[in-house]
This record gives sequence, C-alpha cells and structure tokens, in this order.
Amino acid sequence: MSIIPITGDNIQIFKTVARPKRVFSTSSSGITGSFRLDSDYSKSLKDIDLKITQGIFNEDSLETSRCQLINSLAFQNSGLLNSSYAAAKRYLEAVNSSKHSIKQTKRQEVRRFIPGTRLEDNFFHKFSIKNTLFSHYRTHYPTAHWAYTNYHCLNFFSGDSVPSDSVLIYPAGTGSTDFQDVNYLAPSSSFTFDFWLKPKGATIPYSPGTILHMSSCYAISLVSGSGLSPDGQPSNYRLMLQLSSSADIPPSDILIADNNTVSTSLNISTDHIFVTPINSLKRDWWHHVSIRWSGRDRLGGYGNITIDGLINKEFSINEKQIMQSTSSHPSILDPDALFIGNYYEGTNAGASCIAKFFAPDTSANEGLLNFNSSITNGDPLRYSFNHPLNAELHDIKIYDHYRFNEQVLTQSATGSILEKGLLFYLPPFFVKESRTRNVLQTPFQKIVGSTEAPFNVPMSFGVAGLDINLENFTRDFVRKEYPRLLHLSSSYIATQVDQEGLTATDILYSSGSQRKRNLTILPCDNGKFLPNFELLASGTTRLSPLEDSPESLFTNDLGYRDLRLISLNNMLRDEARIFSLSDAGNGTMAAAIAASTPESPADDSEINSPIGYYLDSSNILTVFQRTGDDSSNEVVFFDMSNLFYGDRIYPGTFKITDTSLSGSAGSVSITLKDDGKGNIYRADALSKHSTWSSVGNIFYDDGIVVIKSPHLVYFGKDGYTMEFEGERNIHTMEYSIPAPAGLINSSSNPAYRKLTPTDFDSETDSEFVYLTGVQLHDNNLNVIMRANLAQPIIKRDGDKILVKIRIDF
Amino acid sequence: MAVLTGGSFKEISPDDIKVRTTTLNQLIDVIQEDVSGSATRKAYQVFVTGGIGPGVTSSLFQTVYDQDFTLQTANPIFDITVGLSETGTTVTDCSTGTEAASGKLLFPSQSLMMREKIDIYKQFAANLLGDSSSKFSAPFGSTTGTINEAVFLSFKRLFARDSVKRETFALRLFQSASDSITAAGVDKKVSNIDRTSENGPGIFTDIGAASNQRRTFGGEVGNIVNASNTNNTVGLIFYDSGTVVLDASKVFSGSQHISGAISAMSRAVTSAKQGEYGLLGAGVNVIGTSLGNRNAKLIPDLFVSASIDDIVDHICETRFSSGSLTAVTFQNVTNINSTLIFCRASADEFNYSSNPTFKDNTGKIKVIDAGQEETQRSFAFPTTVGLHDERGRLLAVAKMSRPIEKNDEKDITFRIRLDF
Repeated sequence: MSIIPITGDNIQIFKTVARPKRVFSTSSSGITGSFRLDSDYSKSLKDIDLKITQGIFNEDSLETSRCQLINSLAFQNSGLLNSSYAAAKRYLEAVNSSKHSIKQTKRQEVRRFIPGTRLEDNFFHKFSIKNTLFSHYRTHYPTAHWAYTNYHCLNFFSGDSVPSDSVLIYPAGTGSTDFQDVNYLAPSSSFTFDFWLKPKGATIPYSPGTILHMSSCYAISLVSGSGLSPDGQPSNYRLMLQLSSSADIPPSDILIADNNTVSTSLNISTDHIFVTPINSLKRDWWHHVSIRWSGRDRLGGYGNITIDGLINKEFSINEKQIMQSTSSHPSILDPDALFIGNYYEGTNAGASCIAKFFAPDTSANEGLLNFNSSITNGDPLRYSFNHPLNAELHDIKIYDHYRFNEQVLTQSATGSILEKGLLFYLPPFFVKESRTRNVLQTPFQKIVGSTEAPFNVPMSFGVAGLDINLENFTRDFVRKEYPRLLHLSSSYIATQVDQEGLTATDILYSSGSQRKRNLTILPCDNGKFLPNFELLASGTTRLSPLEDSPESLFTNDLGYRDLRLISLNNMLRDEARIFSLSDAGNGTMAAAIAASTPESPADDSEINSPIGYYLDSSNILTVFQRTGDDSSNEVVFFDMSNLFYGDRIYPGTFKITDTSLSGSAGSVSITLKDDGKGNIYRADALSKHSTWSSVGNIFYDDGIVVIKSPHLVYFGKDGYTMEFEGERNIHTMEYSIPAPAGLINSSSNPAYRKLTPTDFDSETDSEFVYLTGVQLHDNNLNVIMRANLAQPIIKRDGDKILVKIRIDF
Repeated sequence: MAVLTGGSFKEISPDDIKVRTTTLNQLIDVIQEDVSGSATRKAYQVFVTGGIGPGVTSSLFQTVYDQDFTLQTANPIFDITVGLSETGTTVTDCSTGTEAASGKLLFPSQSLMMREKIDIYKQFAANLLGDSSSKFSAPFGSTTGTINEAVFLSFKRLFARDSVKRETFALRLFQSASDSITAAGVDKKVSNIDRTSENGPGIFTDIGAASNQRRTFGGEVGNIVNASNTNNTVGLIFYDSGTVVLDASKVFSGSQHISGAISAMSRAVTSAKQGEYGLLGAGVNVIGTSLGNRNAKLIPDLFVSASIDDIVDHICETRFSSGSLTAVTFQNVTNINSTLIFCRASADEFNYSSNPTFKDNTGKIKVIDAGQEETQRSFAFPTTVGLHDERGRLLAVAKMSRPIEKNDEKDITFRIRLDF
C-alpha cells in the first residue's frame, strides 16, 4: 500500500444547482403532481387481508377464498367435486379486489388552507406565518406586510349563475321634474371619455356590452371583432360610440357592416354612431381608450377615438350640443344617472323614470344621494339591462373638454389629479369612508351603519362569511358620490334556512347578486399604468396615522403611512374585545357572556345596540372573541413540502392559476405570479403586468404562499394548477489522487507476484500492479473514506494515473 | 476480559439471547393488461441473425413492468421467456445434425433461435435442478412428464422477496388462441398470432403443494396443476427462486392452428400473394396460410420458426387477455431474523453513574435535597445500553427514546431487538 499526501491543490469543491420544474394540479377530476411517499410502491403489491386471523369470518375475504381453493382439492380427490376451477376463480377475484394499504398509497400534496374559526392548526399556522415569517422577511421582501395594494379594477362578467342585469348607477340628478339645471355627467358641448379596458372572453353569439351609458346622451359599448380564440370565444373587439338620440338605440339593435357603416331597424337616427375598425382591441390586453370631441366651435367639431395612443376613428360633429343633458320632451324626464357596465332600456317617464333608482327608501337603505324628494318610494316600474359588459375597467374619467394628445398620453400612464374640467373619476380606490346604510352583520341580521374596511368585518369575524364592501371601492372621487349597486348588493334573509351544515358563505353565495358583488372588484394587473395614490390623502397627514384617521388603514405593518397599501391589521377596535380567553367551552362563564358562536350566532333579527362601529361585539364578533386576533382572516395559504422544491422555490418561477374562481361559474380565471422578490401579483393580462402590485407573498425558502387580498380568498377552493421551479444545491468535493510514474508500483498483498502486464510482444514492462481502490486517511492515518474502482486498473511503473473521487453532499 | 471503563457492565448469558425468525407476507396481483400491453413489457434487442434478408433481431427474454417501463417509477415484476429441451421431439425432429468440430446442433434456415431456446432451457435447468442436462418434469420428479417446451416466468426480488408462499400461486390464461379460420375459407388467412383470445380459460395453481413438499437444487419446489382437473400437472414452481416453469404443451392447446406474420430470415416476396398481409417485405414470413406452412401449429411450428420475441409476444398479447383482472397472483414471504437480547438490571445494579456530574466537588453523590446525603438513596437514568464482545469492544449501541429511572427498588429488563 502506498500513501500519498493530499494537499489543497488536490481538492476541488464545487456546487451543482439542480432546478426541477414542478407542476401540481388539483380539480374535481383529481390531483396530479403529488409525491408518493412509499418508495417501493407498486400497484401489483398489496397488503394481505388478515381478517380471518383476527377472528372475524368473511366469506369474501382473500384468506377465506384461498382456504376454499385448497379445500376444494380434497373434495376433488375424494370424488365429491369435479373441478376446483370455480374456487380458483373466486380466489383470483378476491386478489383483484384486495386494496392497497393506506401506507402504500400515502402521497405528499400541496396543502391549501384558510385560518378557520377555531384555535386549531390552521389558525396557528396563520399566526406563526404572519408573526414570524413576515417580520423575518420584511427586510428582504418589500411587500411582506399584512396588507395588500390598493390597485383594483372593476370586473364585469356574465355567467349562468350570476345576474346579467347588474349595473353600477351613479346619480346625475338634475332635479328632473322639479327644476332644470346642469347635468354634471353629460358634457354636451365637448368631452373626453377616458378609461383603461381589458376585454375578456365571452360566449358566442357575442352580445355587445356597454361600458358607459347615459340615456339620450352617450353610450360606449364593446363589440366583438372578427377573430376567434382557440376556445371559441372572440379574440378581437371594437368600440362603438353612440351620441345624442342615437344613444337610445340598444347596441344589439345596431348592425355594423364590414365597411364600418351602421344601420338599425329602429326609427332612430344613426348619424351619431361611430365605430372603430374591426379588431382594434385584443382580448385579455389592457387598452387605454380616450374618446374625444372638441365641440363645434373648436377644431371644427373634430373628434376621435384613440386606443393606446393611436387614433383609431375620427369623426366630425357640427352641432353645438351633442347630448340631451336635460330633457326637452314633455313626457320624458332627464337622464338622471350614469350607468356603468350595462345599458339602460326604459321609458324614463312617470313611474318608470330613472330618478326612481334613487327613490327615498332605496337611498336610505343603500346610502345614496336622494336628489329628488318628490320621487316616490320603490324602483322604476319598467326597465331592463340586457347588455352586460364582459371586461375589466379602471381609471374611468369624464372631462368636459377635449384632451390633447400630450394629456391623453400622460393620463394613460399615471392616475389623475382632481383638475378643472374633470367631471367624474372612478379609479377604483378603496376608501375608508362610506355612507350610512343597511349593513349585514350575519346573513340574517342587519343594522344601519357604515363600513370602513375592504370586507364586511362583522360578517368575517362573526360568522366567517365573506361580503366585500363594494361601496368602499366605487366612490366617484370628483363629486364623492356612491353608486346604486343594482343586483350587486348583499341580500338580507328574513326567513329561516332549514338546512344544517351550511356556512355563512354558503348561505350568502346562494345569491347570484352576492357572488357577483364579491367578484366585481379584482386586483388590477395593468402594468402600463401607475395610480395616483395621493388622491387618498385625507385629513391630517401623520407619519403614523391614528386609529380614527381616514388614512388609518393605509399603513404598513410598522404602522407607517403608505397610501399604496390597505392594511389588514387592526380590523377591529380594542373595545370590541370582551375576553382574552379563547375558545370558551360550554358551561364556562366566558361562554355564557360571549353568548353566541360562529356555529350558533345570536338569533336576534335586528340588533340596535352598536358598540364601536358595529353591533354588540359579544353577540357578533364570535370568531374574534375565540381567537383574539383582529387581523384579516380573509386570506388563503398554500403550503408546499420541500419534497417539491428542494432547498427553495426558485424566485421568479412561481405561477398559480384558478381557471374558475368560486362563485363565478367559470367566468373568472385568475393567474398569480411572483416577482422574484417575494411578491405575488395578478398576471392574467397578456400585456405588461403590474408586478409591483401585491395580492400576496411567497416565502421561497419555506414553501409558503399567502394570498392576502380578500377578493381572492376563494382562490383555489375548487381547484388550481401550480407550477414552479425548485432549486437544489448539490455540493461536491472532488479529490484528485495522483498515482505518479515510479510510485505505486508494488503491492504488499502476500499473493503479489511479478508478472508482465500482457503477453503481447510489444510489452516492455516486466511487472505491474492492479489498482483496485483508494483509501483516504486523516492526519493520524485513520481511514475516513474508501473508494473502490469498478474494475482494477493496470498500472505499469511508468504510467501516470489520476483517480478522481467525487463526494456529493 | 478487557478492562471496561465508562459505564456499568454485566455479562449477558446465552439464556438472555433469543434468535427468532418472523415472516411478513405481501400479496402480488399482476393484472392482465400489464402482461399484454406493449408499454409495460420491455424487450431487449440483443440477438441478431445474419444470413438472408435484413436479419432478425430479438430478445432472449422480456420483462413485464407494473406501469409504462419508460417511467422512472416503474417496477419490473417478472421476466418471461421460452426454452426447448435438447432431447425433446420439437428439437430432435427439427435438427439436421451436429457440427462435427464444435458439436453444436444444426437447424434449417426456416427455424429461428433454436440453439438460444435450448441454452435458455439449460440455464434454468442448471440454476434450478443443478444440472444443465437435466429435464424439468411435471409432476416434479416424474419420469414421464418431461417438459420439452417450457415457458419460464422469473419473478423479481422486489415481488418474490425471500420466497413464494406455498398454495398461494394462481395464474389465469387462455389455453386456446383465437380462431384463425375465416367464415369463408379454407385459406386460413386470418392471423391469430397477435389476436387476443378469450378461448379456453384456464387457471393454474399450486394447491396441494403444502402436502407434497419437495426440495431440489433450486430450493423448494411444488407442482402447478390445472384447477379444472387437479390431476393434470402442468408445471413447476420454485418457491425460493421465484421461478415458474410451465409446460407449453399442457397450458396451451399445442396442436391448435397458428397463423400470422413472424420475423424470419427471408427476402421480400415480389409476387403478389395477397392475403391480409399484402406484399411481404424482407425479413417477414407468414405461417399457417397458403403463403407458407399452411397447417402450422403452436407446437412445434411456432416454437421452432419464431423468434423468442415473437413467441413471447404471442403468449403475452393473446393468452393473458387485456383486461384489468388478475392474471398472476401469489403471496411472498419476507423473513425477518431477529436477535432479542434481554439486559436485566436487578434492584442493586445500575443505580450509579460514572458521569462526572453525578458527584459534587467533594466526591459525594449529589442528592436532591441538600444535607440528605446520608439518607437519600442513589438513583440513575440509564439512557443507553452498549453491547460489547468478550474483549470489551463495543459492538452495538441501543438508545432509549427517553431516560428511564433506575433505583434500588426497581429491577428493569431492557429488551434489545436486532432485526436483520
């Protein structure tokens, strides 16, 4: 044996990075991508059914059928039976029907969970992730706050199980029959309509969907183009602008020829209908649209429709007034409302007048502007909305003047300020202020109050139900008015529901209006636009806003003011807490005082003793009383084992998709991605994404994903597909062991004989050794490693051989 | 005995050491489609002929997997191949003589892989019977039931483990091939070589093997009988090696007509001999039709003329059906050899520790209550048991899940189990 000293020059240490791609999918048809934990699993290998040895006789068991087969031999030998075939067949059937054991079939899956309503595992997981991981990673990941970005869009969609006649109705009351004055939302002598639009897929035949409509003034609709996507839905769209009396033609009654000329079978002029070229908008792309008219006395009545900075359609109107902002007809009333997301069809006269959408009783119940006290209670007698929009919208603005190209370009990239001439502005931003109205506390209880959070706090912390406060997202920033949310409001259930096992959300989601309400606001993924968050500045500006401040929810986890964020901490005031005790058991004093639980909420149909901003907390906030945690529970977690990713999830590779968000009946698909810095953003658009906007976080080293946006709390509930790349470092130490010429040329093996390496005549060496292995010793010559060669290597005296040994860690 | 330090020592007597063997059984369920499917049956193209035509390539055996064998998680279940006895009529009737120099058998060009089939038979005989010239016979040891045309199934270690449990084996296959004759015809144009059969279902099992235990060079052996007539022994099962030897002439209807295309050393047929085969390319022959060997039978014609791949393909594709029923089943046996060592600590033993912290600075044993050194009894928390040989060298260490209190009021027996 020869010993050669190994120095640092003989050792090389390097790292190999493996980056396996993982896809995990779960749906009603099953799970793919999970890991089997039994390495020896084979579908042909089953456990033995031991029932017969456990003293329980079962004639169908494997062992019974085997015994019967064996016994049949004796009967056959004794002549009592002709054949054992039937018994053998039963034995094979018993084998075939034997099951695999649970141990053999155990698989590792990605776990999706929500915090729950009890102090159980899931809640403590939330607790530890929120309090430990978020604070640990906050210095690395800028968005690691229990808050999400206040960047949203209006999501209009249609589906089998949601109402198609829902619409946002903004008051534009002129006083109607009482007196004639200015219609603030009908810029009749010149205008600019400006918005971002993302058309979405819709079923064929495609019906035009209306974006903005004011009766007899204007209608802007989305019309399908000529292209079809592989899924059979339109891939291209165009815009149609109707002005003046032409706006009273329902969009679906307008025929658009190939040369863009329009006609209708109705006896209404089509002179003021303008259509952009076919395929001017693409599905799932964010487009900036600006529709401008200079007025007759300026630029000669020139107007155009500009999409993404390019003029797509030019038109000229040589009239002083292009909108009938106040009615000139004796029996038709003023167009008292702006409709967003649908097209109003009705007579707008008498008991069917538009102003009745804001009747005194409705205004009181829903916190709306009652601009005409002479209107009687109740909705309009006859009306319909048959043109639901299938698109996402944000940054909707109406100006009373023509905006020049530079202004259009600027406002397409950044949010507006409240400048002169801006008549209407719907970002939509979450604001803490909302009007006093009927607010649900449970599906069966309501009070008169207002809401200050993104979701209904009493519902969430009382009975774990989700009710998005749509009112807090839909304020018009110019006039600070709120819309009538027609068929988008929470429904109070006055009757008893005799079905056990339903959750509050189950009950709420039995209403299509509620489902659509909760999905009308979605995180915005338009990366070509940056909102002007300074619009949210309100009250006295402090570095750390106080609890009563309008900015109190625009803070990060450290309590500092950040207008981009909506905080999900401190959703309740301190006085809401009545106990620090948790999960009071039956018969305890705490239980007696707390009175109700999420499973058995207070049975008062209406409670009139609000504390703080809501009801008596002892009756309502039962989840909070149990957990003592007033941070948002409207979050969802995905927990991945490191079996999936190795050392960490490789940043920038994570993607998760829910193709049918719960409650949307397959109409809303959401895709989320990570930005490589721990942020999860929405990424559905085919155009540039707003990677800075946060809906959640990912912790790469821990395999944890948190979706914080309450608008996505049901993300993945009915199935999802997740894909990412893992990262696994393989550390390798390579030893280069030299066997120099002139060394290692003899063996201490007693059987060693000096022989020639080969019998060839050309052989010059008279002796050789076989190298069979290498041992590595420490300083004290203890063997610490040993490597055996696959086959012995001949080494002649003059041979120089280098043996490389690699050790992976 | 060497000087033992660092603990308390007690000699383990032979009475305190017990060696036991327990067994673990698993159920093997091989379903039909795994045997018949081409995605789950792997062939190895290791044999290549020369001579006429492009040559024939074939495996010497094929392997049946439990799923698509290209997947990393696939497990091989068994190898299947065929062999011929050198002295059987299938070989002797076909052979044209012996090469004088080497002594190897000669065969006509219409046959294929005859010497390989014989060698395979000899290899199994050498491994299982101890002599390559021995013949398998069913019943085992019979002088009349020689298996001349054998089908070998060798189960992999993952499934057979230490042995196959007696009287648990059953195999279902269809003894007859599908009908090869068209309604019209005498020309027998329809191929049945690759057509799944449901004719002549048979179940073959080793019942009765427990009462007739035999042992040979390859370990324990049992007879496989036809469940429809248990007097009809159709093969052997070698329990320890996990190998099944079936007599093809008994488990199949050997005299049944067989027709279809097989690989052969042949040139392309240029004349338009039409059948369902169309024009024949080079390297393909058809048996059992007017194109050639019109009255071909499974035995001997297919076993002589076809390559091992073609024969195994025919057996697996057509005789096991293609459903999800059980085709082959047995229970395996895993022997778990355990040594149980009872380490007994009587009341006065192992109540002290050599851990330095057991004593205070003055060398007195620490007590719970200061000043009670004279009255409180010593106790210890054994955490580990070390097993030493007679020279004091540490052989094995057993760690307890938690320390256990030992005092002079307790005797404790630590049972150490070593599984092999």
